[in-house]
Amino acid sequence: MTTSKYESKYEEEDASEETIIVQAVAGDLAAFNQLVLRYQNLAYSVAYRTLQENAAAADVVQESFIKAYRAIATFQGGSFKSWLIRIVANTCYDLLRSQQRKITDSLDDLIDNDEYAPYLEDTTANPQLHVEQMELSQLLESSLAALPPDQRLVLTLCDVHGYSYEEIAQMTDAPIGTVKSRLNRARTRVRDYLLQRPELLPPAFRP
Amino acid sequence: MTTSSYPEITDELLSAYIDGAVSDAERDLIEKAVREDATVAWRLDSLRHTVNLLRTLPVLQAPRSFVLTAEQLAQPVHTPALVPGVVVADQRAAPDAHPPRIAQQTTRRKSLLERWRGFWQTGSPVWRNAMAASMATLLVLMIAPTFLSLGRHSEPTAASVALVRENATRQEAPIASEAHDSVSLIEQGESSAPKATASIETAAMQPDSGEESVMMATVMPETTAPEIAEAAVATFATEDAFPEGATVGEAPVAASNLAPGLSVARIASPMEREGDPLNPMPPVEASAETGLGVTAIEEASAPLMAVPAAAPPTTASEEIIAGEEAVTATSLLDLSSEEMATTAANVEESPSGDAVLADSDGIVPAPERTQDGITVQAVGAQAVGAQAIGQDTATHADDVQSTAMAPTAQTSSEVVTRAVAAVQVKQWLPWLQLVLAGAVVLFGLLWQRSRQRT
Repeated sequence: MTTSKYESKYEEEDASEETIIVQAVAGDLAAFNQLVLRYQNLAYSVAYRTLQENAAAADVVQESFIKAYRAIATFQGGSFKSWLIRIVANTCYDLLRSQQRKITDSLDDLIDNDEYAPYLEDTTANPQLHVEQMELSQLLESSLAALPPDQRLVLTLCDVHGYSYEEIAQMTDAPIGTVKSRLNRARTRVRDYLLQRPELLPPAFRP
Repeated sequence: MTTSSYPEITDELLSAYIDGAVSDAERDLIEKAVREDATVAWRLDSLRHTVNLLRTLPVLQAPRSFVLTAEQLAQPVHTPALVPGVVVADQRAAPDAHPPRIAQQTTRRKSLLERWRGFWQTGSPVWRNAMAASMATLLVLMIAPTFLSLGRHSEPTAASVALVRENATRQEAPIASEAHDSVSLIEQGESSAPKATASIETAAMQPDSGEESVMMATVMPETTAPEIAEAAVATFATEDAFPEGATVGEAPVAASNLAPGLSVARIASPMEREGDPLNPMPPVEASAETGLGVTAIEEASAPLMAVPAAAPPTTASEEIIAGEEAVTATSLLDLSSEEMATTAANVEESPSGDAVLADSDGIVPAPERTQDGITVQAVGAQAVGAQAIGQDTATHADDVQSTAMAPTAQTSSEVVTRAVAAVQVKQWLPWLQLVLAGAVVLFGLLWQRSRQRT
């Protein structure tokens, strides 16, 4: 899992993170920026998966960090990551609520953006396989885009970033039962969406 | 989606099984269903592959650094545009229109304002509003008694002055100047009469109107006729009590010389003094509007007017009346208590004090009283203060007591009720303040707790 990279990277620095957080709570902007550098990728990933748009995701991340700095005094310990992602998620929801617009065509922007190619991880792969992987990735992205924002967020946090039900419940400020329900419905819908293109699915996946 | 063989195995349960979030019993059931039912197996496999595909999605890298700067923190947070291609005016570029120092000050003020707003907007609005309401109520309860006490202190003085002025205005125009002088003297007398003022304040604690305070100020059961007479005589000893040109009937009386709780209510004008029986002065009813106590006050001032004023009488009738008044004043001191009681009994037989003093025409049939060979006759055609002249001062003194007794029953009950209410309020007010202070603290803690949760 890609999220394990984050987990393994920062396990050694948990003790120092507490020190940084204490300094940030005291008003040290430099200390807070260390936290920004540590979690900005995660924040952007969550924001993008939720909003399905680059510019909006960047603005939401910037706004979320500003909100987090201004509200750092209210942080009472625990998982700073969960606290930060909650701010990001709420900011995304606020934006979607204000815009009242469902993102369904963000996949075009994703394809047209030459600077962004997150799924081109293996450049030495077979071109045909590469194309299939590309199409499968696009299919996945479009299936995510087709989900409601709340299901999309839960699915991203659980399957993309690997958070537990309890952590997701804290981040989304929802009960665990709600998290389970949303996650199940999201996975079921994505499965049904993928089954529309069975040729792209692994043989075991095909009905 | 459920299977026919295992309807209890739902997709949600299978999803939780994939995440390892099921109990041992559920795990065994699912594994059994997978072995026995192909549909359940396919559902589990499809979900597992979906999750595996989703987990292949990478964690996106941030396109740029989101490190915060001081300028960003000073600027207000703006909402980004979601629609592609829509240009949103960057508010962060606006400060270029202002000088740097002003922009910094403006941004600092805005940031402070934003922080202030953010401070109050975070947390539960219920607890915040409850705390604010408790605090406002506490402030009102702390400030209100101060204002109420200040108002009560000023009421007796204003009421007395208002009463004097009211009676003075009912007289004819030439009286106006004398009334003003009298008022000033009364005010001076009241300021030097702490005892009288204290009694007035005590009686005037509850009422709101000045008239009521005057009524209660005049209703003093402890006031007796001898006290009134003594006060009257003492007052007449002061020349200042008689303005130049004033005659009997218009002599003001310093409140300090009166018995406690009494004050001069009416000042007779020269016109009154010169009036003859055929031209009665305004009836008592006019002054009764301000309360029966006014009549009592005026009657109490009768002895004061018995002493001749500075201006000598111009007519023979005035000489007689002046002499009668002088005798009346001196005779007041000579009256025994028995005579006063007898007179009081005679007076009590009358339906009201007003009826004793004047009828509808303002003429008061006064009994004759002979003492030391001088007949004291009542001059019923004059005003109340003048009407009292010629009558037995003891009678009038008892009238004061009797008429004062009549309204006492009613006003005293009101006074008692209001006094009791005031005492109760004073008893409970500190407790209310304490409860509200506790409510402010409690709601503040609950609001702070809600703020910390957000």
